[in-house]
Amino acid sequence: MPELTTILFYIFAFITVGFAIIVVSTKNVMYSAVSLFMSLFGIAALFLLLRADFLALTQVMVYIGGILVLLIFGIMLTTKITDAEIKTNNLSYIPAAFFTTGIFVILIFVLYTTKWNQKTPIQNEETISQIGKALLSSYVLPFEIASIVLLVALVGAIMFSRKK
Amino acid sequence: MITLAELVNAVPLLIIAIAAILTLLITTFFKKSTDVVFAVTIISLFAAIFFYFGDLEKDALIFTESLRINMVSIMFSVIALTAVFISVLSAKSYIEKEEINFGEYYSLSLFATLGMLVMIHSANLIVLFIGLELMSICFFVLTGFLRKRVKSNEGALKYFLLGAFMTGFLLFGISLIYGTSGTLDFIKMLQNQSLVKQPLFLIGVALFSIGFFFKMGIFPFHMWVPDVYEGAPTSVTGLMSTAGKIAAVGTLAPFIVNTNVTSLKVIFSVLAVLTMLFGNVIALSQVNIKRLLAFSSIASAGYILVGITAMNEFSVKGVAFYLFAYTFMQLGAFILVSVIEKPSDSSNDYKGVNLDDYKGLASKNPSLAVLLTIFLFSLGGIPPFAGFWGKYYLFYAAIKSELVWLSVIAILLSIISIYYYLKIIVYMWFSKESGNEVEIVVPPFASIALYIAAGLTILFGLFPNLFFVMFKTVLK
Repeated sequence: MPELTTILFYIFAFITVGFAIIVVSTKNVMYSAVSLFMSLFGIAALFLLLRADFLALTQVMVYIGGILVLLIFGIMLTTKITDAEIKTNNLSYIPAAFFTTGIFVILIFVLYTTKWNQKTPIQNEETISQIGKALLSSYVLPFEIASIVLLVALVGAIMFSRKK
Repeated sequence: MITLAELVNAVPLLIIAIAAILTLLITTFFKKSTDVVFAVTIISLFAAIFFYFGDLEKDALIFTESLRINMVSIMFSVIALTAVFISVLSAKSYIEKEEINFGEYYSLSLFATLGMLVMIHSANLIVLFIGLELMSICFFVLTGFLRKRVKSNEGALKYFLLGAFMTGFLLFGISLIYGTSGTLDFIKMLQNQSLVKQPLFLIGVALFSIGFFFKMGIFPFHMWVPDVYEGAPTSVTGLMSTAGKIAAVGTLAPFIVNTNVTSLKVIFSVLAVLTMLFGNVIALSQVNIKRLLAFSSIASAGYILVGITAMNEFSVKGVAFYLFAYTFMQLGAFILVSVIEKPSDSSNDYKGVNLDDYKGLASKNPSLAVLLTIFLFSLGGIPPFAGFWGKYYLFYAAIKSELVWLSVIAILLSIISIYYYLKIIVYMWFSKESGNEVEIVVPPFASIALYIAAGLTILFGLFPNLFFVMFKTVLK
């Protein structure tokens, strides 16, 4: 009998991958967006199973709460996009199948032959304060530069959207 | 705690960061201040180069072991800064001509420079990734800077989509490397000799390299290069093809060279041959000079990969010298293209960038023709110019690692390149001008940049050892 967490892992992994397939294969934009929602939700659950509570929370807040809602608003405010059928078929099936299968086989083989660097998980420990401390001590430089990256992204967006 | 000594070591980075934000603020609060912004940019770049030659500690890990200041990283940083310096100097007149004279151009260039320096100095994978992203986002925006021109928009969109996709590969590689090694630190990774025997670590390194190969334009990941180089404003193309490449190579080369794994060597040498073949052969049929130079820059990335594949103590030396020489000749060629380019009324395409527009250039403006001849001869690797020594040191490194076959193929393929460089030269000197054209005016700053580039191409061609004297400590 497998452990409960293992069963849960497979359920959430199935949700994540299954809805991800729907995202790329459906012809309706709205279905795509809703499937993306489910897929991202599955990832948040997987983070929780890995005891990464902060990541799960951010996943829900940023991706589901922010980006996806914006995406759905965008679809609803764009006229006629919900009715339009989008092209989802691929022209080069055979080479794509060849390459992806090859990469898949190699990765599976390697995953099973590698000795993973394992750390025994500490029971019921919250990670938010640890991440906060790490960000402001040993990772303070990447943290600061990330703010510059965001600034540049803002400037870029304004550059593209301004008139004149 | 951040100590004063750490800040002193990071002075060049701080100068660039402060100047980037300062230029942004000046642009926001004062209208018509682009001349001031230009001056601040030039001064800060010059100051950063100056401080690199100053009193830095020659082997230091700063900011809680995030950045490494050593001679190799200083060398690549100086080369990258030089490229940005020359490119920005020439960009002023170009963006005035194309009516995109916004201060943001300079601050985005500076932010991109900051990203490059962070990348080159990075001591762990997170810092490296953030630096790379900073540089890439700036380049996406700069590519689309000519917002009214369809080509420019197309280039920016293609670059952004493919760039985001390749970032996925890079991150996947980083996570696999972290999964096997348990550390993000380069030095700790390289100390652990058993790591390179693990297949998962090698797959991680391969995926990691793919992310960088995309930025360098190595064979199966080069598709974006011609479209983006053609679509971007010409001054930006010059910046991307030199400084962007220097940053990617300067980050990847010292790391990969130290792993010294045979399986990677095999993959790299195959990719190098394909890249050189592809770049040189497709370049033969190009009629647009920006596309031609794009394909020639793909071929150059192939030569650089030959040097990296050698994975011995001459590799970094050769790669650095080639990049240094490449900066002047490639940037010089692109500055010339940007000078000859005509301001276009149509919103679709650039005007005056076809090879036909170069017919009879020598009778119209002999000094420009002489300069372009110097740059093209140097790119082709013809002796009295710096490009020859660049290729010489790269292929020398490969021969030292018993990769004679690779050097022979590289030399044969670089002979192909002479054909298309000579084609432009023949058009300039021996073809008759097609119809009455407007006289070409060379703006002052662009001509300063051109003469600096040409002068250094000749100087380092005649005295290649000067470079090794400049960065003596690395090259014992």
